[in-house]
Amino acid sequence: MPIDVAEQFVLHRARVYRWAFAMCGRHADALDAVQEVFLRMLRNPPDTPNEKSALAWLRRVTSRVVIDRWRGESSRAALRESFTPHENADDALETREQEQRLRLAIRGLSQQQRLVLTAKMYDRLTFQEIAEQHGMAVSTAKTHYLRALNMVRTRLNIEFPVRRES
Amino acid sequence: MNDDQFQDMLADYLSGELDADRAAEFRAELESNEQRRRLAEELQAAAAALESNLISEEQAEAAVGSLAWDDIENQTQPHADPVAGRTQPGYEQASPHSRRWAGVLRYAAIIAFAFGGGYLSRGRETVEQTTPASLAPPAFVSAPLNEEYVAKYVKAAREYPQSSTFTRSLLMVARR
Repeated sequence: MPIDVAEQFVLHRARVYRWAFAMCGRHADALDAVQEVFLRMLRNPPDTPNEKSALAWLRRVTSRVVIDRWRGESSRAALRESFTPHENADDALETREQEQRLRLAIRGLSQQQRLVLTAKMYDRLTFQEIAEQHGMAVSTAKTHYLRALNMVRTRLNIEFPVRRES
Repeated sequence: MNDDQFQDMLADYLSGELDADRAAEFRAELESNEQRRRLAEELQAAAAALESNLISEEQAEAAVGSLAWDDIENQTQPHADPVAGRTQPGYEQASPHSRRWAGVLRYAAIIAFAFGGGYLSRGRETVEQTTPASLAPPAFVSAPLNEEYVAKYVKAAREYPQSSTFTRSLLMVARR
């Protein structure tokens, strides 16, 4: 049964935008990504038997579209922009740098890690559902999730002090 | 609890999928193992950082509000050619490389035409000069014409086919 792309657009455009924005962090880029995702769906409609598999397709393609955009950019320019000092107050600077580090951390994830993280954080799917939608074992989905969090932890330099026993 | 079991429960714990019984068991493990407790807390902080980065559904709806389905659908349509029936791009639409070569070819054609035309007309003149009628002396030479001058003029023209009418006339007079 052919998929109604216009209907999918109305149903899921905001969701796709959220995924894209989480990865690229810029409104214009996320909006372009939404357009590109549904353009791809229009040109090559996926053979998706149900709503869940359509969502899985959208999640996968959104991730690919954002990665394509990253590849299109000059990585040096992006990195330079990421750490350009801000003129505002120190806390604003810190927040901005934190956000940029987060984006770089997400950018450094593998496709599978990004998929699992997006499904978990945005769509609140269980590991069982993620495994079913993306054709992987539950344990694999958990591993991807933990590795993704670990990457973010490393990028953000999250390190808690050792608790002293009194 | 071995490492695999810990990893399995840690993923469930961080994502809120751990039931009450297993959660109690997991917390007990964290209390007994400082390294694992730190790891769990740090990953929890990383998850919180990611959560803080999320935008709400309302914000997303507002952001994509300007995006219309027609905009996307129009991108799949081929652009209409303002000049109906034109299959080749015009000179203005051609690439700079093509335009440069078109200019070179245009000048080459002009030069070839000029040389070719000059050569052909030069050949025709030579043929005319060798015919008896064209070898007749011009009217200004003398009047009345006499046979002697005509013969001298024709002789000069045959000896010097490239010469002008003035030169032939001079030769005709000089050979009196």
